[in-house]
Amino acid sequence: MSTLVRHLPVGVSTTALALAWARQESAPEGATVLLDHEVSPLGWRGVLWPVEARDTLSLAVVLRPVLPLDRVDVLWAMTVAAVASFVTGSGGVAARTWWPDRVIGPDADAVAGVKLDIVLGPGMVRAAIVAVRIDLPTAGLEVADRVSLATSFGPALVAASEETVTDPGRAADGYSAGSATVGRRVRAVLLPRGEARGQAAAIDADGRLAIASSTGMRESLPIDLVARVEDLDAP
Amino acid sequence: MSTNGGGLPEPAATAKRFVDAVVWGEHLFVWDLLSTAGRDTVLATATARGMAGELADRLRSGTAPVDERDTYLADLVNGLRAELAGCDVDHLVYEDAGEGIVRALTPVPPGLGVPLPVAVLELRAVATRWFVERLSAIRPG
Repeated sequence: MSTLVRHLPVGVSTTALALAWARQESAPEGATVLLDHEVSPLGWRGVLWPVEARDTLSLAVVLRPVLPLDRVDVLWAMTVAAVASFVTGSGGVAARTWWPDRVIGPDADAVAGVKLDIVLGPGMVRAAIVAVRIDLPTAGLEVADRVSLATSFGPALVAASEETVTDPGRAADGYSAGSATVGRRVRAVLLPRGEARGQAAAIDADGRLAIASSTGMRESLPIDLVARVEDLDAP
Repeated sequence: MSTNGGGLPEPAATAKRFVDAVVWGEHLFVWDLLSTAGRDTVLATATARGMAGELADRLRSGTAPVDERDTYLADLVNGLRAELAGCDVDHLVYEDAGEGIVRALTPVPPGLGVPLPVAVLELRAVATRWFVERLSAIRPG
């Protein structure tokens, strides 16, 4: 196994382990923690990943993107796009993203969830800890391939991260093209209260969800402002 | 009278259209449905909060560039959304109380009483149309 992958049978959280590796041992970009059984798989907004550990690929990857602070949201868009591409490219289902943290299958079933923890330095991102949980059966992937999947995911995510930094416009086009959210009528429940409705128009180069109204009013929603995004076109 | 949907009396229908436009961010419809007095009120509020008087004049007279207009109307829509925050806007019932007053009511579960008022809209008829002059949220307590 690659020295960039630490595979453990059980642990509280992949994020905690990867964060410790990054901070205390200067883990390089692409360093990956894989847990067979993650005790506390908390996702975006603290939502517990609902799939049994035996069916889940739980891993966390250390990234060290050269990004200004006002662009950190783009890492969410980049990650879900990379996970969707990875699932499909590994022989799984045709996966798409649901902004900001989900990957869904053809029937809109949740295939994967992601969560990012950003370690800030002075005026820049020092590291990003990307936690990913993939429901392997729903994703059409083999549970027995867990280790090889984890080994190949890290480099794929690093490549996607590099493109995000070097060619943000092209990367953003990819986020929108691979998003199941774009084109749907959505209701974004905002924090601390309120909501915004409209048709999801794009995922922009900063990873924000742009929604537009029928009269052309356009709003760009950062992740920190949003509690959840509901699909109003769902049957 | 308490109805909802296509059979609304006209002030209530206009009130519903206004609230829907706010909810869906249809900024031009929101502006179109505001009466002259309503526009004056919201522009006076904006001016009191620091908007340049010249900009307010351009918005009032319909001569503001599209960017200026859209930026202001987006702020207006979001301010009105804040007024409605917490309301179950998908299930509001509009009750025409007469003289251009429309109450927006939110249903309560069966057995817990009558629908609760959450907002009052004041409307004015001009020629053949109703326009919204004011939207006031009703806060509990």
